Amino acid sequence: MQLTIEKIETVTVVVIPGTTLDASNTKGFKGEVASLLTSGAHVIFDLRNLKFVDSSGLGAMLSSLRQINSLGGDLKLCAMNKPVRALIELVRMHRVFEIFNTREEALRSFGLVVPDAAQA
Amino acid sequence: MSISDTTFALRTAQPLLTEDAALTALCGALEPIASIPGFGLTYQSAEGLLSHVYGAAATDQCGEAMKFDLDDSGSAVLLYYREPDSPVGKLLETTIRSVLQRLEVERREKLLMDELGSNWESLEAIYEISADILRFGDVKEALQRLLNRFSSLQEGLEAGLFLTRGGRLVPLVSNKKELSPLEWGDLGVLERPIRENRAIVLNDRRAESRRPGSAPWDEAKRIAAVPITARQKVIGFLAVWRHDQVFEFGAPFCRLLEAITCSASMLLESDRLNRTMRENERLAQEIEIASSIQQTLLFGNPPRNVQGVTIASFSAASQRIDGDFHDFLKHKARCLDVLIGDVMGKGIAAALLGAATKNQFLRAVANLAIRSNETPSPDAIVRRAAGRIEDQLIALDRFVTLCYARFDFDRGMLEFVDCGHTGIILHRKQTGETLFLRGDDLPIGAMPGFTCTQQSCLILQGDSFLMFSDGVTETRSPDGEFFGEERLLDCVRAWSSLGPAILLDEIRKRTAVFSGGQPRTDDFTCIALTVLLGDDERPVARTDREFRCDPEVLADFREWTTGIGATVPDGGLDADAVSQLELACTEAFVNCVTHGSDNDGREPVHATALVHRHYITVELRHKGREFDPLEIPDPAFDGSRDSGFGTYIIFHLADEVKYRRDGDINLISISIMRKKVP
Repeated sequence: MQLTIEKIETVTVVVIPGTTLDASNTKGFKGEVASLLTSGAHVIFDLRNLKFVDSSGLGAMLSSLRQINSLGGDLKLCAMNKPVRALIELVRMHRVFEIFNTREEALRSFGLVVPDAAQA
Repeated sequence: MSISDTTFALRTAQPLLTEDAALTALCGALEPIASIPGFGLTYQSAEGLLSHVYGAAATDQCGEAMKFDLDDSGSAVLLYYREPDSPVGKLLETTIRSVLQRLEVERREKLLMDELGSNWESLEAIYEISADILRFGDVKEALQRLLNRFSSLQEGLEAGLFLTRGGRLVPLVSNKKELSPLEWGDLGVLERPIRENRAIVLNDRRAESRRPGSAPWDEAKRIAAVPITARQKVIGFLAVWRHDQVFEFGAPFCRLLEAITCSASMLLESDRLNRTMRENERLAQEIEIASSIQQTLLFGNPPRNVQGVTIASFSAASQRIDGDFHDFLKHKARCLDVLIGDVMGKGIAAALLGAATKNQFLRAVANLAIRSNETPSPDAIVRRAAGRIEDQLIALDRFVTLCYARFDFDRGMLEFVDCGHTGIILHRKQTGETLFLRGDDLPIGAMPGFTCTQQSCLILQGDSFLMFSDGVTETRSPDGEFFGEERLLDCVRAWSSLGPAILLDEIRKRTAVFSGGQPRTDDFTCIALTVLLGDDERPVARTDREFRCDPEVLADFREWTTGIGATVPDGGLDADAVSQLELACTEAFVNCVTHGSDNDGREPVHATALVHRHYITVELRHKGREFDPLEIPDPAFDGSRDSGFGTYIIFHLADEVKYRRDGDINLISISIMRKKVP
């Protein structure tokens, strides 16, 4: 899995490619995320492409959150589609992850000054 | 030799030198001095000697006096002689000093030996007495024996054992005459120490304090008493007394008295525990009787042949007996009444009232049916039964909470009357909602003039209903927290897709875990009904496919599941149903890969989709290790664990889940309603 990574000031935005994150590709995903781990990293997973996430995909995201937190950093999620949001809420992980509707909102939550996408 | 020539005297507050043996020893030591010309020696009892010496001093017949202090307690020797500076006088003084020192050492040695001997005798006596009294079943008889044996150790000793009863002191046993009950004020000098849980010994009571009164020891010369305690409270005392001054109540005697009192305390406490045990045995017998009443009279068995419906019930009696009852009445093939109730109060009386109440309901149904030739409505049944028992319940100061529900599966209608009971939980697969159905009528017997209102609700395919007693929600954790309605609703949400039997089993297990394994304090009754999605229906379409047991084929598998609905001519599934089927089936497939395979994915997964009129079932069969989804623990909702979500997702998304093991094959089937009610 080749993640698309953008560095916006102090924040790393990871766009997950493909439409699914499930048991078939979580191993590759975890490997890619591991290479991003630095002390105090501010990371956003942009989930706009994902149409389907299963419990394995959810587990991979939780694992990333715990690793980033353990290094003093933070991980936030943004731009998730309805089925993905439904899964996250079904298993109550919306209480664990910080979730934003848009990437701009997520960036602002890290203290960046970002105009809305519509205005930009 | 005259006493006026050379005189010595012994004066002591302690008994050591009043004994002739000690005096003899002293005088023996003084003999050589006394043999010197001009000196003489005589001795007699210390009392006589002292009066003689003091008499001589008073008439100035004696010369200078010398006083020898033995110790701080005031033991002393008084020596008189006529020539103060005489060398013989000096010699006499030195000799007396050394003799007295030796006597003191001997005295301490003797005391020590006496004490050791007495302790040993005490232990022997207690052992003998304790072993003896064990043979007596009755505590009074045993205490009498204890007191007799103890008082026989000292002739002339009188003894009595008193217990506090209703603010008075009642004699339980005594060794001589029968004693009368006493007020605390009658104890006189004993009152304060006994109340303060202290022993008291009075060895030489002066004549002026020995006045006749209510207590048998009021005129005694020696008294000793030790409090009897149980669970840190004074419950009585053992008193001994003598009217003469023979046998002093010394330290060894007092220790023996304390040990005997301790034995008496143990006997009394042991008797209390025995009585409690007998009471518990009686209670256990009562529980057994009541449990038998409950099983035979109060709990009905659910019918097994209601087409398209599965029913399960579970009842467990508590340690205390409650008046929980329930029953099932089948009117037609698919019309069933369920009665569940609880009589206020505990014990066999409540159980019998429960049986009587249930009986009135059965009679009410029969009587009304004969009159109208139709199935009477639930509210008519409740009114008639309530009318027959209401007055009696009020007279007995009892009331009954109950819920009478009619499940008419042909009409698709639930009608019920809820008289202050726990309500009915409905879990509706078609909408995903879980809610309470309640009425607001008062319990029968709570107020005169009972009335009730019938409630109703549609029954849809896939609906699950739970009726329960308050013992379920009022299960307490070790911290005293209630299990509560919210946890029960969670159970219904999580487990109803697996059918009533598994749902009830999970409720039972989860409440047991919640209570920390403590015994139930309340009866526990649950009745669950699930309207099946339609097992008997012939499917309108069927597709089969075989997949490699490998996560790499997940995309293919999902494409197959989402395409199932498209093969159906009448419009397939709605979008929510497709999403739910896709995710639940993916999780089931991943379980086959993760848990089922021992052979590197060589055994394929057989997938079958059956499309029915109202729902779709996907069945996955896979050869592999036994895997029971019910054994998987709940996921960690705090995000601390990655695993455990798969099974949880399946149970929550599917409208019906079945799992079974067929030989070495794991088989899971997942059913989803085709159209979700908005």
